[in-house]
Amino acid sequence: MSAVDVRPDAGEPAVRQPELAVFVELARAQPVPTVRIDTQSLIAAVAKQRSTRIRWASAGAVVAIAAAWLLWVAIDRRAWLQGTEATRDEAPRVLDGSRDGGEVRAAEPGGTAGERATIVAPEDPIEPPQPTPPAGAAPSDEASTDDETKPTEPVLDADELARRAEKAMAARRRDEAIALLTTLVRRFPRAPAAKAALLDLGRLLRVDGRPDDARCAYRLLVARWPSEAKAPEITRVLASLGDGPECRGLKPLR
Amino acid sequence: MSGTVTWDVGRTPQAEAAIIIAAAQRGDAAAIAELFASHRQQVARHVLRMTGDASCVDDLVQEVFIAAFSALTGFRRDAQFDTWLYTIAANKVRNWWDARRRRSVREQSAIGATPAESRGPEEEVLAAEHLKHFYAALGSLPDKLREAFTARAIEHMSLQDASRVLEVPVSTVSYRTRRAEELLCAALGLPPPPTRGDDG
Repeated sequence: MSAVDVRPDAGEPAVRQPELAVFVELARAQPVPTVRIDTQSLIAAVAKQRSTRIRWASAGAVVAIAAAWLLWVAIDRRAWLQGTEATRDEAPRVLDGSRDGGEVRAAEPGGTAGERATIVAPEDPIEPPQPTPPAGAAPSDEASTDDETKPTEPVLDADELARRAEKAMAARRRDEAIALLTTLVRRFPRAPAAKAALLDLGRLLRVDGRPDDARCAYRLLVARWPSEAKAPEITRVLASLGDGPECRGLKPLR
Repeated sequence: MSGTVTWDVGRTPQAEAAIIIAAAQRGDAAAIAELFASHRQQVARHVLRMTGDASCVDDLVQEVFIAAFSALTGFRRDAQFDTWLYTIAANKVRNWWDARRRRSVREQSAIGATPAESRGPEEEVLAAEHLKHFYAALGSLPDKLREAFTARAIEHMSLQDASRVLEVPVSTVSYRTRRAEELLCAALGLPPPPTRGDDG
C-alpha cells in the first residue's frame, strides 16, 4: 500500500469533474439582482436592534444590582443576628412567649379543627438588643443619660462583660460592676450570662440603696425567665422590697 | 446617531475605508449608509451564489447588514471588512438552508420562481433546470462541506482566502471541497471526480 500525500497543493483546482464545472459556471453566471433595501429603514432597524440590546443589558444590570442588594441585606441581617448572640439554646425562647412573661395558648387536644394557638405579648416588654456601636464610638443616647449605665468598653461581648463585672465585684468596685452588668443586660438580653447578671445587679442595687432599681432588675429577671419566679431568693427579695413604681426595663417609672 | 464624516479624495482606499468604519462604529449614520452602499451588491452576489435563490437575496442581505452594523463596535479594525461580511453572510445562509430543509414541498417549489427560470429560449430553461438540480444537491450537503465548496468553487477563492473566511486550516478547506465535489457528483448522477493521482 503506497502512502497518500494529503497535503493540499496550493494550485489544486476547486472542481476536478468537468461536468460538475459546468454547473458551477452556471451558478457563477447568475445575474445578481439589484438590492432593494432602503438605507434609512436599514439604519432604523439597526438603531432599534441596538436599543433592544441596551434595554436587555440595562434590565440585566438592574437584576444584578437587586440580587447584590438582597445578598448584602441577607449577610448584614445574619451578622446582626450573630451580634445578638442568639445561640441554639436560646432559640426556642424566641417562639415561646410564655417564657418571656407572655402567654402561649395552644389549641386544646379536643379543640376544633383549624383552631389556632394565640400568643399574648408580655406586659413587661423585653428591651430590644442595642446595636453594638463601633470601636471608639460614643455610647448610645440612653446610656449617656444615665451615668451608671455607661459601658466602660463599647465593643465587649457578653462573656467579657460578665468577667469584668466579676472582677469589679471581687474588687468591691460596686458602681463599675453595676454599670457593666447593666450594659450586659441591655445589650445582650438573650445571652445566658444575662440571667446571672440580673441576679447580681438586683443584689448590688439593693446594697447600694436603690430599692426601686433593684426591684426592676428582679422583675425583669422574672419576666424573662418566669421559672425563676418561684425561686426562694427572688420570692424573698421581692417580698422584702414590697410594691414600688412600675418599671420600664431596668428603669423605674417615677 | 449624530455627526457626519467627510472623506478626502487623496486618501488611499484602505485608509478611507478605515475612517468610514471608525465613524460607523461611533454610530455615524452617513458612514453606515456609505458602508452599506459600497458593499450591498457584493454581499448580494455572495448570497445568491450560496443559495441560488434570487428571491431571498434582499431579506438575507438586510439580515447580514443589520447583524453587521449592530455588532460593528466589536469589529477589529485590523480585520478585513469584506471578509467579516462574508463570514456573517455564510452564517445567515447556513440558517437559511436549515430553514429551507424544514420547509414544505410547496415552498421548495419556489426555488424555480427566480428570474433565471422565466420562460424563454430552450437554453435558458435548461440552464434554470440545471441550477435547480445543482442547488438542490448543494443544499443536501452538510453545512461545512457546502460552505467550503461554495467558497472555493463558486466564489473562486484561493485555498488561503477560503481558509481565512471559513476560519479553518487550508488542509481542511481542501479536504472539504473535494469531499463536497464527490457528494455533488453522486447527487447529480455524474461520474466521480478524478483522484489526485489521476490529475497527473
